[in-house]
Amino acid sequence: MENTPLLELRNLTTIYPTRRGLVRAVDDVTFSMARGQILGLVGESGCGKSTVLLSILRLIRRPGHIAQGEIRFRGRDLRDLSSNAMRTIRGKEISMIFQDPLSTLNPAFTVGEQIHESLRLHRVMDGGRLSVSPRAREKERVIQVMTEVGIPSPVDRYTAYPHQFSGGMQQRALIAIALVCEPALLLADEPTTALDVTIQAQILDLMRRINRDHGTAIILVTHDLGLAAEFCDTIAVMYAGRIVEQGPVDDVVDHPQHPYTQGLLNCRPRISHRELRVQPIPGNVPDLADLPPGCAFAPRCPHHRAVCGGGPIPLIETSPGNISRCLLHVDYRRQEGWGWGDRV
Amino acid sequence: MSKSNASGADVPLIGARNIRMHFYIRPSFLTRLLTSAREQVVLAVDGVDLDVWPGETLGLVGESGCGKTTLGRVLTRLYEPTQGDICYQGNPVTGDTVLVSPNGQDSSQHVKFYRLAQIIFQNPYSSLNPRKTVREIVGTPLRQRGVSDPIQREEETVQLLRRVGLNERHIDSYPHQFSGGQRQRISIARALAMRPRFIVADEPVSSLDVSIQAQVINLLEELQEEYHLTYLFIAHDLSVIYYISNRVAVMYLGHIVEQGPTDHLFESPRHPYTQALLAAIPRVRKEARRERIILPGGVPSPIDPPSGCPFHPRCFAKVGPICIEKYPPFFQVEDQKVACWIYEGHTSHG
Repeated sequence: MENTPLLELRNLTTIYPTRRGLVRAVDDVTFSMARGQILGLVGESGCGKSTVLLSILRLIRRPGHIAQGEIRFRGRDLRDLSSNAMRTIRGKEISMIFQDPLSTLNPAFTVGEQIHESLRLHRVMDGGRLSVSPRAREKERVIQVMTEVGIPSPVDRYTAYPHQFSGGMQQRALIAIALVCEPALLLADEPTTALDVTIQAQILDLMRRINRDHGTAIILVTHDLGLAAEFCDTIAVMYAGRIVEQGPVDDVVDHPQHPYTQGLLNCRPRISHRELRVQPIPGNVPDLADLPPGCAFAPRCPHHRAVCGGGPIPLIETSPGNISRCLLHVDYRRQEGWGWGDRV
Repeated sequence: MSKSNASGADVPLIGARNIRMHFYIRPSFLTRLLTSAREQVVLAVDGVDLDVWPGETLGLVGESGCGKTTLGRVLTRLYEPTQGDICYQGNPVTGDTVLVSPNGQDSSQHVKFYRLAQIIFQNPYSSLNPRKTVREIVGTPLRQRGVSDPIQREEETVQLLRRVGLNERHIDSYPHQFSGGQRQRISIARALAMRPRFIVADEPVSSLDVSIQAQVINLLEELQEEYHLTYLFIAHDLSVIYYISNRVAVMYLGHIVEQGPTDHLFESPRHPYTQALLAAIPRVRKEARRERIILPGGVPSPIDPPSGCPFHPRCFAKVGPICIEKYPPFFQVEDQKVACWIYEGHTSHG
């Protein structure tokens, strides 16, 4: 039991049928994470990083669906669960915070009620039929969580409405909703993108404290490699629905293996290195409905050769713990029979 | 500090004195009757002095709601300021015209200010008219500039499109047929069509993907050299500002709190707010990370800003009661100007 990872994705593939064909928003994504770990999913818009999070919670809206793969949470495959059983997991064992706090919070209910709701739904404080009404104890817990996430004067703020909160405070309220049942895993989808830098620093500090104090594992989805580098233990870089590179944060940032990761690092202006010109990645993000049979990054890649477009490229282990999906690591020798989900 | 003042000019291209831009929120009659709501004033820009020198890129940073966009719009005269003057090469801009002498010696003439100052907006999805083709979008400023011959206008449009990295076959396309990066290129072409001297770039890359941002930043730099443009570059992303600016001005709640040459300001920020802002940038490399400064609270509302120095409720380096009582003037600390009482005793400006 000790060795079972908290969350394990195997060959997760999520598909959206569109008028122009099937879009594989998430294609053969495999990773696992341990208790208390912080994983960063990094990539540009449309690379499928948010879809991974929604797939984990099985919140993919029809006609989109999970086509294949396993989502093992504490050893159980979440795909086998009934929708009722899934509901006991969402918000209790795995919770999620979204990018835009104001559109996530319900404007018609007070912030306190909204934090309270998930406690009540999951009957966390319910001591059985004979115990006294849990309401008072639940409220106590809500106030406690509000204090923990740094909402000042929580007793008064309990009855305030979302629009009376500033952006940073709304995001704190959202984090409070996510944390009130003490989940083992927190999915954070660009939690600071809508916020200012100084507020972003506050929220990251809060999430770091939660991770340390409660051992909550966190998956942080972000487009900002710098943010991921500061906050995460492990980074997975995604491009066009697939993981292209994954490894411990320092390895990925200091010795990026995949040309796309290198491009991402070089196209950001770096403070203290102004003499380094930013090198844009030429071209545009590819259309997911019309991907080439081989490497999706090849048309923009400075190292690409004809063989790159030939067919699936597996994740190649470049050093223990580091994987990268590029033929560069095997001297452009592609073997027939390789699939996207393989690891060599 | 290669480019700033490199022209050796002794008159700033754009000089703004004591700019105030106040917006009035007037509740409806019924609201006033039913509640005790009264007229409120948003002090979006509250007394800003700013010089932009010819050929330089002045970076303007600050958090949302600090008034940086409003200031940019005032400087292009999209807003008529509540108070204050804007000068172009030392000549006051009155209404929407300014007296300029084209070559410096000829008799001066009245010129529409929009011929000299243009703006690139943040959101390329809402700043281009969806019902107009690129030909019309870029052609309108050309016609305003006096290019009346349609053939010549077409030629120049094609030239502009090529210059910003678009294909001439795009000329009859509509904005929705382009990606975000391409749309921003159309906005740039539209601004260039007027052959301006001064361009306000209001967060031109913040709505673009990271890999596309660099393309647009590089394009703006090339164009600056080619057409001798002067930029006011507004952004909240400090690494972009660091990269593109010669000088930086930091705004907080309607005031400029610090300005100075980019390198010096980033190396040794003087104002506590600048220090916190720089410490908050996530860094890729470990060794570049600064000691974290976490500011308490959020940016106060510009409707009822704090007394004295507007930063005092969040400040970690308060000097004393003076911070709460009196707004600090600029103190000259080496080549940075800092509006903070910590530096009282240094030479002050006004």
